[in-house]
Amino acid sequence: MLEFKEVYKRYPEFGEALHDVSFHIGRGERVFLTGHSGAGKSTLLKLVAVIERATRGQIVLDGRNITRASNREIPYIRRKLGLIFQDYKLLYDRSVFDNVALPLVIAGFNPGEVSRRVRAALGKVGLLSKEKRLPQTLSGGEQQRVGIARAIVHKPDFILADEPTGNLDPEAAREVMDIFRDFNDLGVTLLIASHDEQLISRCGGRVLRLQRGSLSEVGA
Amino acid sequence: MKRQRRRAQRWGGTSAARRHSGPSPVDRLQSYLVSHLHTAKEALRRMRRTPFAMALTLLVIAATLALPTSFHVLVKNLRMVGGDLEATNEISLYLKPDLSNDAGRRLAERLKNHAQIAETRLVTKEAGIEQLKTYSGFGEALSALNFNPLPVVIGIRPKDSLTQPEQVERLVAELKALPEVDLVQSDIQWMHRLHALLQVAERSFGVLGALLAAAVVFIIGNTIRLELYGRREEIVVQKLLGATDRFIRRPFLYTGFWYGFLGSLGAWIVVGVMLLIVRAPIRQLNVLYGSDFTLAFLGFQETMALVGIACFLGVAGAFAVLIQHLRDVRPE
Ligand SMILES: Nc1ncnc2c1ncn2[C@@H]1O[C@H](COP(=O)(O)OP(=O)(O)O)[C@@H](O)[C@H]1O
Ligand SMILES: [Mg+2]
Repeated sequence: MLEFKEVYKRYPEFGEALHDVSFHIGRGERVFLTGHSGAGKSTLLKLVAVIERATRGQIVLDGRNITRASNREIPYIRRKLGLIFQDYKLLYDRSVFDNVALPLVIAGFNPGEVSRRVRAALGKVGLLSKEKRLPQTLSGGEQQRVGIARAIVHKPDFILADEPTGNLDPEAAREVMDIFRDFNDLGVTLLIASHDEQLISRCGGRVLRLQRGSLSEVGA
Repeated sequence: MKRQRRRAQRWGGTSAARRHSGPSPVDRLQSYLVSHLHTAKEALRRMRRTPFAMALTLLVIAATLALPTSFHVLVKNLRMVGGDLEATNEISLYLKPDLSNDAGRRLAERLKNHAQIAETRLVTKEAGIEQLKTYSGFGEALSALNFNPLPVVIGIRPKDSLTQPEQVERLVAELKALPEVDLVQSDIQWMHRLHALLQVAERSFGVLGALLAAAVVFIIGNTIRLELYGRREEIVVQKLLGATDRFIRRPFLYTGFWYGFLGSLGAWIVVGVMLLIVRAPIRQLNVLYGSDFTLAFLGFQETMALVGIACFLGVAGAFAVLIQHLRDVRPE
């Protein structure tokens, strides 16, 4: 599903954020990426979504080398992914429904199909009754569930989450993790960056640890 | 769209096709059209959210478009006046008042043999006063006169071979030199002058039009640029979710389209109102001169051209700004 081969990332203003990172994630795996703040977790995820480019090395996603993907190809790479962010990145002038529908509208689904899939996704995160609400009227946990619904509505193979529980209280964090585990049980590949070791150990799964840009495998 | 689909297939891969049902081609076309319609409506709704800013922008665009449009209408009307004059391309010879009808008739016969004159028409003193009574409305006052103050008039139609203004000028000078002639009046000269004026006007219309078109592009582009920066976050999110530049540009292009379209309707109304205002004085002139000149407004084709050009300028302004500034809006 995803392979990093000797990947380096250097920010001109900062220096080396990732140093000789290699790993492989198979289809259907559940992988946590951990490490202290500033270790390079977000940078690694950004390389997968081609938000940043690797300085050296190769990144292979679903059998294709995306390291040198052209700007025109980037949207189609991102459509294969489900991205989840610590700050949710919802559109606050649009309803929950419209937020979740966005990936489908972008991909050009017809309105009937859009409603059907949006309702299905909202059902999975338990927010079907709140589709008409604006995001501000929801709690943090609910907003993150909207973010998750948006990330899975187009049925991606691979979900990338960057500190998805970082802004949530423990209760909401556990709910969100349970939702992730359900998806993983259905065969979706997960890569979740988090510095919350406690949550990770309770959730269970393979753990990759970043330390000042270098990766080491901790084991399941 | 074809290229886009190929890219989508490439990145969709076989596993994705197996596990997920992407939209079918027919679905895709249908939703493409539906989404265009939706985007157009959404762009209009977004404009209406700031009605004051929208009205002000539209006012400026309408005024800018009304300028060349009214200029065009002016030239068009002047050209019609020119056409009317062309139909009566006669040179009128007013003979000395003491000359009799018979003397006039002899002169007319003589002039008919002139190499550059096709035809002559004699208006006797009596015929002249009848005409004046019929057309001028001074009938009663003229009847009260017990003598006829009018001179004999000879109308002259030059040969069609006289096409150059200088040739006509020379003929007019020659006729003016005749001892019997008091005054020569030629509409042809006047018309040539009008034609020259219209040519200058048309040329300056080109320059003026180009300048004001650039102004419309600039106004709409600037409006779109502000809108673009106001919606940065939204664009970033769309890009993260796999939106192509084309998808992101679309609502802004529609905004540009609407500004052009509504601005041209505004310009149409402005020019229409201007013509309504000058209609009353024109009617008075008609009464005074016994003419039946009617003001021409924009025809169907001209209206379509105005609307079409304005829409194009709007989309062009939006596109220019998007090409420049969309690159700056990136997730990282
Ligand atoms: N755009 C950037 N420009 C310069 N330095 C950056 C940029 N993004 C991240 N960094 C630096 O790279 C390091 C790794 O950042 P990040 O990947 O965000 O770490 P984490 O997500 O693990 O906290 C940090 O020290 C950060 O300051
Ligand atoms: Mg981070």
